[in-house]
Amino acid sequence: MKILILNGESLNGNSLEKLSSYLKQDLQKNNFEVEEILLKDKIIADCQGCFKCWIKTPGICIIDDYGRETAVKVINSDIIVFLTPIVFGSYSYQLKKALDRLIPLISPYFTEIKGETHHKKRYKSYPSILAIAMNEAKNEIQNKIFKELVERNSINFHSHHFKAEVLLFDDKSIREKIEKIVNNFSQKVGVQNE
Amino acid sequence: MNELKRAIFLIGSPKGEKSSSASLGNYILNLLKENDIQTNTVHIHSQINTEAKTALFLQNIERADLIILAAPLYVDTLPAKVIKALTLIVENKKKLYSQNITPVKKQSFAAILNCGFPEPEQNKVALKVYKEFAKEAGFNYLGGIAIGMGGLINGKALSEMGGIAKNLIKGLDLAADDLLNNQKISDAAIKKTFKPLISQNWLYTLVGNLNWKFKALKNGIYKKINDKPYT
Repeated sequence: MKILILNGESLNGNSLEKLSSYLKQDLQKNNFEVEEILLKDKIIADCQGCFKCWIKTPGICIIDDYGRETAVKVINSDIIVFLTPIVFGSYSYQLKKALDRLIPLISPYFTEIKGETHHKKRYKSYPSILAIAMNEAKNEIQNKIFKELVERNSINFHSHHFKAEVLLFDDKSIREKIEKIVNNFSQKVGVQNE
Repeated sequence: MNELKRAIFLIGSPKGEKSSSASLGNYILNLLKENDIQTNTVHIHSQINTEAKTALFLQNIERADLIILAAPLYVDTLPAKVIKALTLIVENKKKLYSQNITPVKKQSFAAILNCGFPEPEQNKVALKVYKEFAKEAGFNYLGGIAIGMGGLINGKALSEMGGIAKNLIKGLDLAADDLLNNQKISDAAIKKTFKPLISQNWLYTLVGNLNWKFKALKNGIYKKINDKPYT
């Protein structure tokens, strides 16, 4: 299985290096092919909201930068992992600038999913989403928002599975927690892929 | 006596003044102007690109009594650039607070969201995110207005939209009254603006799908619209 880690570490914020390193170790233990993109090191322009990726260059963003490359890698992965500091319950700017540029991967046409309007698939299958946010202090409200957001993304992104967790930067048992999250999620996705 | 003197309107859409966010926010802003409120409009995407512009942006935020942000829904939450702008505001607040610089009076914040789906409920996560932002910035959160079928507005002035904008305009009138009085946006305003611009969702999606087809045809890519370039 191919795993793509989208590391949304902020420019001047806490490092997510330790978290990402544990994640990679655990994923590689499961014999997964793992690639990480440290988004703050990449030139990814903000989505212009022009919809030309739907009506002019179908499936391809008109901005020729690393945002395009990210979309190619995402659609060819089995799992995408979001790593982010929690920002008001949502994603960091660094992660979101990449996510906004994934719109070319879906169709402009509307469809109904569980009584709600969403966009149709462009591709046959989409990666599952594992999202891990880091916070400096306990904040149940923001944890709940984050989990809700990832669930909403999984619907719009036609992901078979999703899992969202929020951990604290000073959590002493972070190593064990990551191992557990990775094992449970990869088992779930593995069963699906079999 | 009305405490509100200065309002700043932040447009969170990359399309700026041509966006539905601008149409919605400008409607409220005009009502504030009629009540002698000084207003200032900032297009986020072009105003936080350099250090100098960012410093000016943050200065303008500090001067405002009321901050109104209108933005589209991108991937179920705030557009990336809006997250960046709000993060800058909170970081600046922390910096000022550490220097014992606090605004003379508590500033207020309100959000206006629109999404291209017919269901305004799809904005609910983003609304919660805005509330969390207001909390972290130390703003008095006056609430948010969530609108579906944003594609129908498409940057037009609401006054030019005819009957379909009737409830929306009534709701925004009520919301503007609340904002003028520095009060939380009332349930009545939220309820009015929550009403769909067209009562049948199927009609909106049908017209929406036809619109994509028409644009693709115009661009000569109709047969390629479902292309899968990356597999």
